[in-house]
Amino acid sequence: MKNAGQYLRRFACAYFVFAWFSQCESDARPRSRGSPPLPQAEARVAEAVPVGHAPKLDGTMNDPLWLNAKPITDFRQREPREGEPATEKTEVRILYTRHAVYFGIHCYDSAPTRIVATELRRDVSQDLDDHFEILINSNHDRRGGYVFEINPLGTQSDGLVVEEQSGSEGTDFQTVCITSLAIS
Amino acid sequence: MTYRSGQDRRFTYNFFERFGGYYGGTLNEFRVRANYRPTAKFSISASETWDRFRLPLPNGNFSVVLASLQGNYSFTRFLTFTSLFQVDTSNTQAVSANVRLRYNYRPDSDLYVIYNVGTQFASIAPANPPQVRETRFAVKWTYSFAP
Repeated sequence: MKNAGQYLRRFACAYFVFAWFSQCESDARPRSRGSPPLPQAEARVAEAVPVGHAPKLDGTMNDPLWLNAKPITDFRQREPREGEPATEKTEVRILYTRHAVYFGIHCYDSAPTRIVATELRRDVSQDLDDHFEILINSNHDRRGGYVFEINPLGTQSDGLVVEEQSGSEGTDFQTVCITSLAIS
Repeated sequence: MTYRSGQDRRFTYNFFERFGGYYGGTLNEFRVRANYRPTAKFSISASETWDRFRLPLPNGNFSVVLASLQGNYSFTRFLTFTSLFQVDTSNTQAVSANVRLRYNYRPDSDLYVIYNVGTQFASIAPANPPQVRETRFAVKWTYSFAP
């Protein structure tokens, strides 16, 4: 256990607690309707769990409500080796209420002194920073969605993808999202 | 085709080139951009874009050069000051400066204070006096009832 403790201390843990509030009465649907299911080997499901009220947004996942959510851990690389397992551990939990979706994101980093976080401006590209990105394809057509980004400074960016194109980003498109962050 | 320097450095630069068909003619575009980010609060960037058009139209062979210098200062992640100075050689040969303060005082609610100064010349040659000068001051306030 001592070795495990030393190992864990090597990680910088960034907690993002991210809430997206729907402005309409749409419900959060964790599963698709009408679309043919993917083969089991390819199906990767992020399950959102309903809760009666919002979890505490304090930059941690200490609120017992988060225990209801099944952690999502099987992340893959996009670059440089697309499809291979991620080189850093990440855990995500998703909750939803009648009006909002909550993402609890725990990003481990094996080289915390090399975390890149330089952007404090809202709604500009975070490509130069380490950042976490959420893309919600609420129509389940695989051609569009809502994009939310957050970097280790807590800076937010949101946008809209329309027909696989970045339709509206930055100040043209605003959502109601609240982020709290803690780095330990 | 893009070349980018190491993106985790304070000073970064990138080059971009594209060439291809464009409305029946061709477009050759080259961009260069440099960024300097000494701190999370302050950053500065300079960029220049060259567009060479070859279009099947009268006077369809022309070039446009766009150069810009941008400085940013973020007091917090909710309050940012941005300034942009831009020159381009398209039809009106414009020079413009823009300063903007954005305060995101609650989710989905912002206060913007914007000041623009723009000048159009007959050409970019030093002897040409300004043709049109436009100054604009704007305040935009938005409030979302949803949060």
